[in-house]
Formats: sequence, C-alpha cells, structure tokens
Amino acid sequence: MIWKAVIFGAILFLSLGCVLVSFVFLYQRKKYKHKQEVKTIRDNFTQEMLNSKAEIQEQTLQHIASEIHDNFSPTLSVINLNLAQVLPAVQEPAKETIIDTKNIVKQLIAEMKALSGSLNTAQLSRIGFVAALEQYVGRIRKTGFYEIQFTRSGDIYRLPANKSIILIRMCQEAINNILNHAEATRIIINLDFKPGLFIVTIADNGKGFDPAKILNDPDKQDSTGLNSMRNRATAIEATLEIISTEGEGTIVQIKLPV
Amino acid sequence: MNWFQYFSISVILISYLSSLRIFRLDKSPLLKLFSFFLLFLLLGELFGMAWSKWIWSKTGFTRSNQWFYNFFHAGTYSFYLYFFYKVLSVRYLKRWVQVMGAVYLMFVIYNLSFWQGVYQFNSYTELFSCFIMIFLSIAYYYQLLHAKEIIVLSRDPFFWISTGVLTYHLGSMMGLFLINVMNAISLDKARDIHLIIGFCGILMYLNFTVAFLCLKKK
Repeated sequence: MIWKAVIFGAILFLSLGCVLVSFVFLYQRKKYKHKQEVKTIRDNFTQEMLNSKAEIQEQTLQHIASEIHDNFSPTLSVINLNLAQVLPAVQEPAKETIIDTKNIVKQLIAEMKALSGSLNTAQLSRIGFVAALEQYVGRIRKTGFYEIQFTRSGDIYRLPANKSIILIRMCQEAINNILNHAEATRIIINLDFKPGLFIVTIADNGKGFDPAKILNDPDKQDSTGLNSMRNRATAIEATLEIISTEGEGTIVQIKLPV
Repeated sequence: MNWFQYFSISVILISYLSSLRIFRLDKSPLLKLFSFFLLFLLLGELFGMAWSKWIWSKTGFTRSNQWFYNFFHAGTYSFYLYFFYKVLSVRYLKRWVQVMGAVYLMFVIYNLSFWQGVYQFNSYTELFSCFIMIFLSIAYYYQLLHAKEIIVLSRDPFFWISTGVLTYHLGSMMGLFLINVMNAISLDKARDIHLIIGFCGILMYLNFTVAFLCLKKK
C-alpha cells in the first residue's frame, strides 16, 4: 500500500512539475512574443515619425527655395534694373559706387539662385545626388577658404530619389559642421559606389571633437546637428559613423545599403 | 540494483564533465562553483556506495551508509540554499532563503541530536528539505516570470538547474519520507523506492547537464 502511494505520489508530483514548467515556458514565450510585437510597433512608429519629420523639413526647405526664387531674386533684379536706369544720370565718383553696387547685386542674385537650387528638393531629385553634392561643394570651393578634394570610386549608379535627398541633407550638415566648428583648411569627400552599398566619407583636418561628449550633451546635440544626422540616417536605414579625436580632425562616414 | 547504481553514478559523471565547459566559456562564477558542487556530489555518491560495499568492513563500523547521507545531504542542501540565495535577486525572496537556511540548520542539528539520530536516515529532514527546494525552484520561476527583460529559458542554465531540483524533489519527496517505514516492512519494496528516487535523481542530473550544454559561447 505504501509502495503504491509512493509510486502514485511520484507520478502525480512529477506531472504537477511538468505542468508548472510548461506553464513557465508558455508564459515566457507569450511575453517574448508580446515584447517583439511592441518593439515592432515602436520601430514602425519611430520610422514613420522620422519620415514625417524629414518630409516636413523638405517641404519647409522647398518653401524657402520657392520664396528665394520667386520673391528675393526678382526683387534683386528690380534693384539692378533701377540702378541701371539711374546710372546714366549719375556723375563721377557716385557712378563708380553704383557700378560696384550693381556687381554686388548681380553676385547676390547668382548666390540666391545657387542657394535656391541647393534647397530645392525637386531640382535635387532631378540632377541626382552626385551632381547636387558637386554643386554644393563647388560653392564652398569658390570661397577659396578650403582645399577640397572630391573623389569617386566604383561604377556610379543612381541612388533612390527619396534617399538621395536625405543623404544630401546629411552631407550638407556634415560639411556645415566643418565650416562652422572644425576650423579646418582641408576637406576630403569620397563617394564609394560598391555593389549593394554606397559609402560617403567626409573628412577634415580640423580641431576634432569627442563625439560621445557631444551626443550625450543635450545642449550641444541640436547645435551641431549630429542628432538630426543620426535621425536622418535611421530614416533611410543608413549607418552613420563619426570618428573624431580632439586635435586630429574628423571623419564622417555614411553607409547606405542600396 | 548494482547496474542502476553504476548508471546513476555515470549520469552524475556526465553532468560533472559537461559542467567543465563553464571554465572554457568563462561565464558566471556561481556556475563554476556549481561545477565543484557536482564533483562533490559525485565523490559523495561514490563514497556512499564504496562504504556499504567494502570500506565499512575495514573500519569495523556499521554497514549502513545512512549516517553518511545524513551529513552529506545536510551539506548538499546548505549549498542549494546558498546557490538560490545568489540566484534570486528579489529582496524578499532572498530574505526568505536566509530564514529557511537558519531554520533548516536548526532542524538538521535537532534531528541528528535528539530525534531520528545519526544512524537512522533523517527522513523528516529530507521531507523538510524537499519543501524548501520546491519552494526555491518555484521562487526562481516566479522571478523569471516577473523579470523585466526576456530571458530565453532554453539558454538559461539557472532555469535548467531549478527544473532539475524541482523534478527530483517533487518525484522523490514521498519516497524519501517513507523510506524508513518501507525498510522496516519490506526490503524489496524499499529497493523499488530507491529505484524511483534514483530515477528522479537521473532526471535531475540530466537537467544539470542541459544547463551547462545550453550555454552559448561569448
């Protein structure tokens, strides 16, 4: 009788143990699935948010570009025309000042046109990433303050329009950082067209910085645009790498799977 | 019976050998300690077996190895209490382990000194130990279910160790408690109960083996 009780007890308790372990397993699996679902929803939401943000930014830039093109440039042309009209009636030495002013206005019109072009999303899409970046770099080169080396490697292919717009904004941000913060004299830009992977490298010989320090300082994140670059990289599923040491320049590398 | 004893020892040996992986993987120090514990269990079982076979005759002591298992199990359960104290991270569960540890040690000393004595198998202590071990295993499951992060159970060595401990103590609880009674009634039936306990022990050591084999390389 006791022996039977032992057998029965062993089987009963072992069965209970099996039920308990199965419950733990199933509960944990359910928890894991739920967490995965929440993560997917959160990732999708973040992606949507980033895309919307990028879209709003592009629309704003588009609007600014239109304003420059439709309002500022014609106004400057009118000023130029007015100056041309009054020029014959003016005596020396004021005549020379007006001619100088006309030249400055002409230069300003050209600058405005270039700026409008670089902000214009439709134009960027039309001419493509490489040409757009070349135009942007050309404008900086014209200032004569920087020695710029622009190289390309691999067989050039056209990047998807929606990604190339965000990519050009990221490059503009990286170059702007060099102009505003790096105190550099040399900028090296390389576009590497690998099969399935496009890599943009922008390097400078400036004063460098500690990326971790900047990224962890909420006051500096927005001022350097690193956060914005990071968000843009996430939006186009690219990876952004910033290698910098104080006093030894900075390398920004964007890798975009294509 | 002999073949089953050797088989049980072989399973403990396999479990110990699999635990040596931990030194190569360089994981938790607690698991390294558990590997030494498995060696302790292996040596303890070998000694218990050797005692009733031939050591006793050389010492002139009693043939029964039950006095040894009373002390051996006290050491074993003290380690389990320490092990679960380290594994559990919830504060009030840790406090419970401390309280149970203190009560357990007092119970062991009292039973050995005044109740069942040294030479009789301490079945009351065993039953009490079983309850403690079942509680500790379930406490670890409770901690797992309430953990914020997701732990992949099939890769969690502590889950497998807890499952082994739970399996053994659930299955052998009644047998361990009634073994003295059965020894008095029928030695054949008592051997069968030993078989059941041994079978539960094999299940436990297989779980311990999985605990070490499931570990991923860094």
